[in-house]
Amino acid sequence: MKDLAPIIKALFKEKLVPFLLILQISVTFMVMVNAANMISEREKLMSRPTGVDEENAFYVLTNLQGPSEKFVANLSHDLASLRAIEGVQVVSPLNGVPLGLWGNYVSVYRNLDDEYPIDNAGYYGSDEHIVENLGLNLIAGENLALSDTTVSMTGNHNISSSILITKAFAELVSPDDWRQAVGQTIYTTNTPQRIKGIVEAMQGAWPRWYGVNGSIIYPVIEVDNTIRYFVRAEPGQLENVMEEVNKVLLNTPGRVIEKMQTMEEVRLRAYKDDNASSKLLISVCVGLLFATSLGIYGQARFSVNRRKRQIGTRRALGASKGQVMRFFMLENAVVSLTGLVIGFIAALSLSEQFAQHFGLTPVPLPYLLSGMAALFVLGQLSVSYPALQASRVEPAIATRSA
Amino acid sequence: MTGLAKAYITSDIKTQALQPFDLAIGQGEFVSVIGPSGSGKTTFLNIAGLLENHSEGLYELDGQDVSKMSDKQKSAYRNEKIGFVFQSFNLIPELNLYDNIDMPLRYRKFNTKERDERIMKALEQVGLAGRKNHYPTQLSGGQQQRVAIARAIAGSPRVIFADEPTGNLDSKMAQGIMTLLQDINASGTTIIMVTHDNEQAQLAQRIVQIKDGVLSEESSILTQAIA
Ligand SMILES: Nc1ncnc2c1ncn2[C@@H]1O[C@H](COP(=O)(O)OP(=O)(O)OP(=O)(O)O)[C@@H](O)[C@H]1O
Ligand SMILES: [Mg+2]
Repeated sequence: MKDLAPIIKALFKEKLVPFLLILQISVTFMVMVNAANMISEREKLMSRPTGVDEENAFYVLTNLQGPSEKFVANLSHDLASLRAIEGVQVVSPLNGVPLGLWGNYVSVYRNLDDEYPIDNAGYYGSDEHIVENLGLNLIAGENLALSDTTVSMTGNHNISSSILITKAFAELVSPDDWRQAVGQTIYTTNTPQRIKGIVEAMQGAWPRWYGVNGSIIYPVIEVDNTIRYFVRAEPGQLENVMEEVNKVLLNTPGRVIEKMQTMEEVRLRAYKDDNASSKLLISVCVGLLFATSLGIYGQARFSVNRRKRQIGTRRALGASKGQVMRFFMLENAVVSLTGLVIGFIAALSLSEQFAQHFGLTPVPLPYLLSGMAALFVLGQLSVSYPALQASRVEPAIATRSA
Repeated sequence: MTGLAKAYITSDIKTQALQPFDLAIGQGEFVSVIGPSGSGKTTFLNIAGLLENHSEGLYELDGQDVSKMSDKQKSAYRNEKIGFVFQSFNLIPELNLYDNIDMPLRYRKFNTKERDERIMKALEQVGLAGRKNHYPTQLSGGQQQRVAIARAIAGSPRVIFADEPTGNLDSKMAQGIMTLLQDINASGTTIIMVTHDNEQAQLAQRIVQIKDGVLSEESSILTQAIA
């Protein structure tokens, strides 16, 4: 630290090179912490639970062969033969899957002739076993019962039933106390629906949709030409079961299997763009960090070479190897810290802009501080080799090179 | 120095820069080293000043075997007991005169006040106290060498090594530097000075001549006069 004051004075005198490095460090820091914040925000978004037990689960999109009078019988036949497959735990008919990117939503009204809805809600239709079969978590009210279930060819929302809603939607129905939503009646397509229970979560089809967490579950099996079966396999049996399901379904003549996807694939596809942009951000950060590290290293190498004579003189006049090394480390620390302080301010204002214009959460303080620490350490590591080289300059150079 | 020798070995070529020699220098002496270019003067000075290691023989400094000193000990010894004056001054361009003189003092246990007193005293001694905030490039060569001398004496060394201190100066400026060195010597500091100039060499009590790495001593006019 003995060299601190003269180092600062000398840096002020030199101006340009330290200025460029300071600029580079501050820009890197500003971009890095904001990118890290964005990535973590996205991670948070992606880690929201769908509410469904996705492990060992998949769905298959297929057809119920007509004529329409036979839909119900064909459905029963399918369910029975699928449930008979070895390794199959549960099979539920379902009109869409969470994050499936294809799905349904409906406007939900508090009263029959209200002009404005409470909000829109994604909706699902299945039988009374949906909670157990999909692994949903019932947190208030009662579960659906066999007597609640109907089969329909016209849709779910215009059949009056006892329904389940998600907690997120219950909070809209009953803002003061979401539990109070149980027992209330709401209206979809001019049809009264009695809220029988509340599940913790069941996400809608579109991860970026504002209403993704507010869903309604009707105990209505929608039979149509197309149908989805949600299947859960015994642990470790997923692949076999999928193959077997495919085989069994194709036993029926005229069968078309449009799609078969594990819930893991569904999730990956739903967040494909988010994952891609996170990766892009990470590569930008890595690139910037690399460039900064290289910049510090290169500048230090250059400065050591240029100042060989000066280093030799310092050595001749009594600086030990360690003191020469510390001189360069300290010089870099001053530059880095200046850059980081400027970067800190810049990062805060960029974060504020992002928060204002894109609704992002501002970068939290621990991010800023750990980012500073990380970049500081990186800088010191980058300068350590040139500094070591500086310490190896022979004192005799002071009398030698002219 | 007993049987001291120096050889540089670079990729199979061995340059015997200094042939074995014996030499003893006492406290307070003024020794000139003369000899043709490439004869080994700087090599001698570097070894004597602990800037380079010798390859053969024994070098005792203050009764201490130099070859047994660690690099750190040598650095500390140079810092506290040796002053250097170089042909091309070797001031640090980014630092003003004050900080240049301060540089070696910062490695010592002086407090700020003591450093300040030493710096100002040294600057006054070389007549540049009024320009302490100037930078080296704002000075003439002679003035820069005065600053370098101030830097060398500020730490009160026991010996000053000067390698052609006037080599880059005209004769008038060189005259001033020589007077300064003589004054410093008069106050008890040993001075060992390499020079090309025979006349300057005569100002010393002892003259060591080096020719092709071979040391010999001739007595100066000064010593002859005293004797
Ligand atoms: N690092 C080195 N490696 C190899 N040979 C060297 C090295 N330094 C000096 N020499 C050689 O040692 C010999 C003595 O060099 P030195 O610099 O001591 O001479 P000098 O008397 O100071 O010359 P000048 O008057 O030109 O300064 C020369 O032949 C030189 O080439
Ligand atoms: Mg020389």
